[in-house]
Amino acid sequence: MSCDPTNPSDAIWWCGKCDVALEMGKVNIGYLGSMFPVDLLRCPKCGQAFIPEELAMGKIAEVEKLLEDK
Amino acid sequence: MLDGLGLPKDPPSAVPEVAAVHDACSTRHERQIHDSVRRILGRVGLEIEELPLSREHTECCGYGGLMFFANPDLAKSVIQRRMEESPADYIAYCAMCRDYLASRGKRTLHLLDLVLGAPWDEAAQRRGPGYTQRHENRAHLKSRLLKELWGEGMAEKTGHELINLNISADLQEILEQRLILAEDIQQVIAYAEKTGRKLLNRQTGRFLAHHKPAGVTYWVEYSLGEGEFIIHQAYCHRMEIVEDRAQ
Repeated sequence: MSCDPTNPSDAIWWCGKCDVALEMGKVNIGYLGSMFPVDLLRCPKCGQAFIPEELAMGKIAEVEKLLEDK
Repeated sequence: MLDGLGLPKDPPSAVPEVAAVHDACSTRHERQIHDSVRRILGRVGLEIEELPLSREHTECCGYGGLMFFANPDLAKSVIQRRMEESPADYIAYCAMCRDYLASRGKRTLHLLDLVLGAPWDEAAQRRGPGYTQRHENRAHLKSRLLKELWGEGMAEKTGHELINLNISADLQEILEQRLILAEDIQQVIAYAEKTGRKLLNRQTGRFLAHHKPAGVTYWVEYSLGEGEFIIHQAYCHRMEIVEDRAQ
């Protein structure tokens, strides 16, 4: 699961709290005892992450179902 | 009770000759209720058509076991199958059965529509409340019962409840499918505006914020309007983000 760093829309996101541009980095997301490192845009100062709609409603929803059905 | 005490009002004037009864699965083993419902319908002048599976063999409307939330596609096919069992208008006596059958376009009335004299066609065709509206209806009902029966008031709206949202009809449809309440959105905005934890899209000038009030993380894309927040998108997930402070 990763964002496309070449996507220009990814470069326009700023952290509203720290006033800095988001950068690609590893973010852990977990569910039902499993943890996955994911490449996501995140604030380099406070760590606030950005999960795009396509990722949340796509791959993340799929993984949630897989883990729930296990 | 209605079967024993009689009906409080005259039945609606334009009653068709035949209607089919849909028994709620929760009454499957309540023969007395099945009989009472049929007696009441007979009293308003209806000839009852029995569906192939009724009474103790009745079928689910798609809500039982929270099927619609766990597997909406399966629930839709269950509703579809049930509604195609007869071309007659259906009479349900469970509010969820009524609304789930109506949600797929089946003309369905609630038994109380007949008792209270609702116009037949209007009652048969109306769509049930959406996810947010049902939630709000329950809150209004509680408020009215507290006020009118017990003389008590509910707490005034505070915090996130005071946030005005502007949600388009198209987005409302999406929120229904995603089971996102207006209140969930209000909570995200209240959290974002209070803590400053939100992202800014420098191209559109819109904010994107997320918040996890309980088990689900909600994301809301919004902008500021005149005394309201304009909602552009909302989505959610159950996976948890571990947002460590960057090293």
